[in-house]
Amino acid sequence: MKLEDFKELWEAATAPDPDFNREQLRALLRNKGQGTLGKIRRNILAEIVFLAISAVAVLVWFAFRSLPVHWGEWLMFIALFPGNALLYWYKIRAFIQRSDLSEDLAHSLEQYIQRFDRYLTTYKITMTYLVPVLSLIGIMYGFTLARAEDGKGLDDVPPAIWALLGAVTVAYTFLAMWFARWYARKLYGQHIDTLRGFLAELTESDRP
Amino acid sequence: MNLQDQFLEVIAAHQRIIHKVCRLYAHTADDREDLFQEVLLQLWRSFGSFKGESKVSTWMYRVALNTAISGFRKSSRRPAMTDLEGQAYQLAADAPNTEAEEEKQLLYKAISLLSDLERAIIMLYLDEQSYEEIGQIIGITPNYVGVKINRIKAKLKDLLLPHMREARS
Repeated sequence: MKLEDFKELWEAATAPDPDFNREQLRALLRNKGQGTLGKIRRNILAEIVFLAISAVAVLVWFAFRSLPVHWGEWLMFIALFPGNALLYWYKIRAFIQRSDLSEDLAHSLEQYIQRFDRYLTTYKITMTYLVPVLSLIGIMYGFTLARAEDGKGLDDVPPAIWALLGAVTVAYTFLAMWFARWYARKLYGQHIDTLRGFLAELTESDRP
Repeated sequence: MNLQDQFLEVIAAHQRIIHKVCRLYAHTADDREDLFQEVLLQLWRSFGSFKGESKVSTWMYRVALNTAISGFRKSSRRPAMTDLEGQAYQLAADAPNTEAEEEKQLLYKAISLLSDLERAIIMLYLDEQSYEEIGQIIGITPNYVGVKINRIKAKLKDLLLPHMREARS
């Protein structure tokens, strides 16, 4: 039997599930976000709302407390919120603002992979650098406060303490780097590799 | 008639395309429903920019296939298969009784064992789309569509032939 002979069989084999009438279709359009992608989008939006509320809460706390805001606190605030905002910007672009899906498959795959790559790069950078930077700032802040309570500055800190702080930061950076790569790979690696494979298959020949 | 009514009229008339893509790319009733809704939402999002430069079916196939293939899903939509021998073995194990049913089931199962991309191409081919239209939907030249279809045919032949012979003997 030739594949052409299967066209009739195919038509019968792909008889649709019961057709939806217009009202059912309208209801499906209204119930946005029921599927897996909808859940991912809802989670992203919930995380953004949480981040925004946290940022506002910290600013309110800064504004109303009696103590002046220390430079270490400002640095932590700046490192935490803009860093995460950047990450979410790419996450939104990857998961919410999908590329124009009415383009051909090869073009859409190209755009999708590009956006996803950008998101993953930002994720790795954020996890690799932001977390250690934040930790270092936190340690320095705590250290400065502790010394200030004893009426001392940072000028006479023994070199061994600085070396210890440096070693902890480097070790933490490597650990965060490893974890970020492993986690990103676990979540999205297989999906992106598959899409890359399809794109490579499509671009074996010249595009029209 | 407002834009949404126009959209629903188009979808109601051509929804078979979405059903076909969903049946091919989602393997449980829940997954199919999820995918149907996702495709519908994506079609609605792009409906405003659809200017009728291509056929409605081309536009719908593009959006539906893009959504099904590139959409991130946490769970795998089908079991992983490693080689044709293993796939052929599974076909034999699930085959039904009557000849027509068997051929239909075998075809469907064989197609479902192809890669996502191969399934898209063979679905369009079996849906009587021209090489030109398949090229427009997938983003490759009509010549390359021909090359891909020949390769897929050979793959399907490997999968189906032993079982077709068996059914006739």
